[in-house]
Amino acid sequence: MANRFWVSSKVLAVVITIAAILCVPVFVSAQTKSAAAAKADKNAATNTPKKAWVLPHTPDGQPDLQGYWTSLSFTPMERPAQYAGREFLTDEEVAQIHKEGIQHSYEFTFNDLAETPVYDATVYALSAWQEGVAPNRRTSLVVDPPDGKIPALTPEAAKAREAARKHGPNQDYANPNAPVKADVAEDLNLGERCLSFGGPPILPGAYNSNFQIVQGAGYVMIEYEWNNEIRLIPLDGRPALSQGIHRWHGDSRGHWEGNTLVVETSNFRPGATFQNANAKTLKITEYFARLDQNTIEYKFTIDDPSTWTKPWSAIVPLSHMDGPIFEYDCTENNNDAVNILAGARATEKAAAEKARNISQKQ
Amino acid sequence: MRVGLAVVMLMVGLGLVVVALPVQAHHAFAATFDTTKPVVVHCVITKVELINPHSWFWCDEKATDGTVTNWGFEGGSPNSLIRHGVTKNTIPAGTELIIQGYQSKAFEHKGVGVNMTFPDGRKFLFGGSAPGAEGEVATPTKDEIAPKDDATSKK
Amino acid sequence: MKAIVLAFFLVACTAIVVEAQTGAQQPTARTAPAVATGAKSPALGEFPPYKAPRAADSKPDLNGIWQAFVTADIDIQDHDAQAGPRPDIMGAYGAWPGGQGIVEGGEIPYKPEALAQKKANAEKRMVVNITSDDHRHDTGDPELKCYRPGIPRANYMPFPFQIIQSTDNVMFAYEFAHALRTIYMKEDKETPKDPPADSWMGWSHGHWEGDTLVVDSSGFAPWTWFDRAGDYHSDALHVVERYTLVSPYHIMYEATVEDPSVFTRPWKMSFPLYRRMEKNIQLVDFDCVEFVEKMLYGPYYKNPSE
Repeated sequence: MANRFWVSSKVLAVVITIAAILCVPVFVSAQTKSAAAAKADKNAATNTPKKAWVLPHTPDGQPDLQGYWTSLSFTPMERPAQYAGREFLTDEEVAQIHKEGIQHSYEFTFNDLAETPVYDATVYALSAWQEGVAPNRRTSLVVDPPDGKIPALTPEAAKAREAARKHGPNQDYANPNAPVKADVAEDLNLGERCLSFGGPPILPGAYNSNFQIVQGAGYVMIEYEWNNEIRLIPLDGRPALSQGIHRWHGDSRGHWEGNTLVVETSNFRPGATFQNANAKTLKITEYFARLDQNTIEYKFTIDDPSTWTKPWSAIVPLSHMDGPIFEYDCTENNNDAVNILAGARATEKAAAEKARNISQKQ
Repeated sequence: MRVGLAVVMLMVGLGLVVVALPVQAHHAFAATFDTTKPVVVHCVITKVELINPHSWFWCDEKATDGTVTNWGFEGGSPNSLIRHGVTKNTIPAGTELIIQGYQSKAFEHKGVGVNMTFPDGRKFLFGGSAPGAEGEVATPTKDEIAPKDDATSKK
Repeated sequence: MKAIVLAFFLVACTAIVVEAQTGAQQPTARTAPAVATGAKSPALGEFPPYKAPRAADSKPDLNGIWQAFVTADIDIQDHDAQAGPRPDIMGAYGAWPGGQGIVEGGEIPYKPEALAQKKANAEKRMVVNITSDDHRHDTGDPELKCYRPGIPRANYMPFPFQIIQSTDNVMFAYEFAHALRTIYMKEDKETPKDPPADSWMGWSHGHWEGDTLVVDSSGFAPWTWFDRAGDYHSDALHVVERYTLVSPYHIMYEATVEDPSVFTRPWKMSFPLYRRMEKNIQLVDFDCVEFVEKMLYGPYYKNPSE
């Protein structure tokens, strides 16, 4: 039927868009900038400021990282094959790719994996360009290993991941028509349950990829937009928690190295780790360095010998944005949990009805 | 509630897709709305709720025989709307809208608003925005996105 | 002449000494004997004058982890100890302590119809009926469901919270359900005076009056309660709080509650907040959502009876 054909074309458009974004990463230089690129993104770092920028400090003398920041980025996690051996792109490539990325994101609609458009993200100012995506000069987020690729998994981690993908609840995203296992709440993912949307590390997300940093005596606070999840990072050199306490975002301790905030996080909660790494052995180190008024260079190092054959690092550019971050009432409004579970029950009931009718006719 | 990010982050973790992919939680949408039941409703706003992560637009549809049906259409997360200066009062009660969407599976008069326009054809909220050639944001002002009819505007 | 003056002086001194001794003997053994430094045990409800140290923003330093030790989350008015839910299995684990109320004047000034609503709330505080719309809020104490507690309730729940004080924002991070408030210390385009939308923890602006942080909050969703006893409000709720450091270890807290839809007049609650003084104290997680899933979504489970 015509409607279905149109949907299929839309699928194709989305897939092509995805492929285009995958193959054509976007950047801008933190150092050099063409006039076009500068105009293209008011949030990107300026390299030829009118007067020298001075790193602001909080009243108690710490580098000031405060404000609202977005990690939204078109840059892929790993370096695409066409840029093998290249860490950075030229200014012209940056500007061109940013422009194309903007045009693609203009077509961004929310849809489900069954490819039915739900609503136009532009209406809600949730397209990447409306949310202030900044260009990035890098070919990939991963910067170490130098080939821009995440190191290999350990054999046991590879096995565990494959098992999780096959048998994990409600997780077969590769097949949108796979039957949904939704018997109990635990069959839903942590986000659908409003338990955790992840982090550390900070990564680019599809939208609302934002957070706020506030600094108070001896603490740095990071508030994520998604579910207003909070990380409170003490800077007073206190000992880490024992393995007797596990926190959803791990246990963090911070200190300054020059003007860079270094945050070390370990002691994660099993089942809630980055890429399902080992909660006991995973260690994440984050580095926050403010490059200019609108940019923080954020780097993270992932170290888990149980999961990856060697540590690896990535740099995610953070761009300043306007606030506020409004309250995010996830569990108070969790329609998804109800609808997914109720939907599974309805499907089971319909199947049972059908089976009954068939057997009755026989 | 849209949990795209959780899905996205998982997919990033599995190395499947680039992080900028806008992915909807498949099962949440499919469980909630019926794509075999499209609707077009010409109605008048009674209430706008921006209860993050939802937005809801409640709208009275008047049939030719005079009966009024109140519809509820779900919209996107209002976080960015609020950052662009939209409040729960920006679209006042009495605003006329034409809403195209899909009906809810569980409720007869609820749905998701896929396309929403004013009767004069202007798109709802920031739907009429377009990126500039250099990617600069060319969004309408708060005054521009409100309905044109001042008689229905609240102060 | 000199003799008269001297005599008068001696009499006066004697009188003073006698009176002092008499005065010292009047109180019971509660009062320690006066020592040379003049120290004595604190009088309840009173704090000697105190000038708080300044935070980096040159204002009194509220940074730290704080906790209330009243039983107001159960009932903000006077209440006896009571068996909690399912005493047959919970025993003393589940029983709720009694306590004195925090409402100044003792009674909440409800409108008559609102008082009936409060009682209905209390009767149905454990009735949970979760739908995929706002009707999920029709009955049941939001605390039971691990929903955000609202204000002022978050400040007197039996959990610590942390204040992170910066020049432009004062953050309140609550251990309960990781509830969060941002107190905007300036009004601007991004954080205007009027709430852009409603929220459970309200839209708050703060300013200093002398050494007191005054927080003005409105834009509340109507679904939070003040306690487990069904005390509630509408979306017209307006709360003004005052935080004053009265010692290195105490904040005196006062909240004025106003809601013309529910109450006949504004009313106040007040109690001290105590600084958590353990050496390495930090908030841990109480993300109670995982503890309530069966309760909330059980009716939609494959085998709900289990």
